[in-house]
Amino acid sequence: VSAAGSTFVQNLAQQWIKDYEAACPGATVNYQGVGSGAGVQQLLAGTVDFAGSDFPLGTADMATAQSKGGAVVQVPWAAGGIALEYKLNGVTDLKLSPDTIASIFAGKVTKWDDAAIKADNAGAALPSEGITVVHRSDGSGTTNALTSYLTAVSPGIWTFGSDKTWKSPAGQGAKGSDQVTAVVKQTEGAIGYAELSFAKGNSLSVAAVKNPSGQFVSPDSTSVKAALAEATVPGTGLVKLNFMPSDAGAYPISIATWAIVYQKPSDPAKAKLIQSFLTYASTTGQSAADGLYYTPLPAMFGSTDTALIASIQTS
Amino acid sequence: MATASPLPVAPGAPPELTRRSPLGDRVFRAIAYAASMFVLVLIAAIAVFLLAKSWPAFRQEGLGFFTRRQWFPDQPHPDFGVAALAVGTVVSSVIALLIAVPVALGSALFATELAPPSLGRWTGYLVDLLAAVPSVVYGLWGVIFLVPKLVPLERNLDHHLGFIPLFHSPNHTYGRSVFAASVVLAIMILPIIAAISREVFRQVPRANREAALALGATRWEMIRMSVLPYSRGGIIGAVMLGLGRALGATIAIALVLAAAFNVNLHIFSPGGNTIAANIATKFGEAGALGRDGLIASGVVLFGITLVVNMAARAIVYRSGRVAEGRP
Repeated sequence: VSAAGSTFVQNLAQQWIKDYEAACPGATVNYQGVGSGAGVQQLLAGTVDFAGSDFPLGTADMATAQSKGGAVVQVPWAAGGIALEYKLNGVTDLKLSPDTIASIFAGKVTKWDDAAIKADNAGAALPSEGITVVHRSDGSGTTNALTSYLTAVSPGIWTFGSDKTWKSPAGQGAKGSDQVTAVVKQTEGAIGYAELSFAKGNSLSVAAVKNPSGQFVSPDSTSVKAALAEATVPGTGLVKLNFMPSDAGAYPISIATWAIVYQKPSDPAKAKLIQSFLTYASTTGQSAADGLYYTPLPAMFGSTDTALIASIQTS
Repeated sequence: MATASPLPVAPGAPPELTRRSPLGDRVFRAIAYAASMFVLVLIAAIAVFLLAKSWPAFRQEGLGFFTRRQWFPDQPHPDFGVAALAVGTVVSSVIALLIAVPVALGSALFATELAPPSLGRWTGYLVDLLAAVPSVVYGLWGVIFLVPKLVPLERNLDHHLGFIPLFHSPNHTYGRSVFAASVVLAIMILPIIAAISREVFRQVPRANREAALALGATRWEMIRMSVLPYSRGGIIGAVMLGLGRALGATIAIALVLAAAFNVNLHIFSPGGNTIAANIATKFGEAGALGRDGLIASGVVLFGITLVVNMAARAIVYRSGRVAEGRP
């Protein structure tokens, strides 16, 4: 089967595929990290068997899906933290509060030695470098999640709403999480956003973000899991994230991401394979998450995922 | 060769030309006619397809399509236009020409007029080799290698010449700028301009060159007085082909240029976008109206290319008349 979508989940999905194909010889799964927006469009066009997306289908896409292939199942299958990755000479322990993050991404704070950033980083030597914001140029679930976070925590400063398309006039675009990371890496004074694994894989510094308890927390498996534990997981799989977690150790920009598949795939053999692969990914596969800087789904996702995957019709 | 003809021709009597049209001629005529008609039909079909497909986008945005800068077609309230893209396309291509044309003409003149024949041939081969590099490789080379190397240059020029708005970067950020994209474009269009110019220079009759030299012209005067005027039409044609490639460059620009929907006339400041690069980035994820909008932007690119080509034709036509001493 072939799948495409979110680059957020790409690094983990590749590992799952490798392990799954080793365990089940003969099965081939192919995942292309083309961005959540493009993945969903490919699912609707029928060119892939399932999509990976960091946002669930909107009403318009849902209607298109209904007319093309019927109902869809949206399975939360992975989680991770969105890292604010940056490159700034001499600064490796940047701390940012929600309003400062919103100001930077809205283009209202344009220098690293701005008073707002200084206030978050008492005593740090911040250079007078211009800030280059690097955002996604393609439709992205990561953008959707970050802008949802900013809308939730700093609506007065971040006035662009939440969307998969970047709407702030600030900064420059790059295609996919990998290009965003590559541009940040080579640009002095740049800040961008991507799943933590991209920052770690490229040895980029990651900002600690202030949570509602007033703590500056860096994204890692523990802090992301603490935030996700405060999400609500209804039976539909449409996870409601809590961007203002009460846990003092929680990293607030933590998200879950979905595998989206038609409830009744046209080819029963493929349906079986999808069902088997998603079962693997949401159970055994979760143990691969930590080593790749993702976060295993908290236990409360388990029964919902099992029921959703079982609802895929294989005959 | 007439003496070798097996058919003796009576002096004074022209050979019979109109008696019959041999089969070969008729087949050739039919094929040539069909081929040229096919090209016309193809262009018409492309135009019809583009206009039909883009109609919903034009109807949605009206004239605003030409003045709006943002690109949000698949929103509850669509808001998209081609202004920033068209400006970025034209500006980056023009700067690319400013860089590429002198280098291309210089290398072509070196290969044909100055270098010993063997060296000239080799430099020609090497320049042609640039055309064999896939554009995605230029893009990756540009974004990974070239862009960081250009930053100090851009920073210095802004520092010393920043009073010229063109060279000023408002936020003092540099890198994936229109200028960087233009440098990559320049390298991409260099071989096509150089190769055609070389062939054009080779067509200059030996007699023209020798006449200039015999009148005591130096090498440069000979090139200026006999080679360049004779080749003017060909050079303009070569530049137009290069410009065509620059206008349509897709993946290299999508990688190098920081996609931002602003009319960016600060050429060292990251940002700006081009029509072709925007199509490459957005097509995969576009919804129905988004796709129509991208095709509509393709119509605009088609229009820009047509205008540029017609302008070039006009220049060639005029320069031809001037060269022949007619008004």
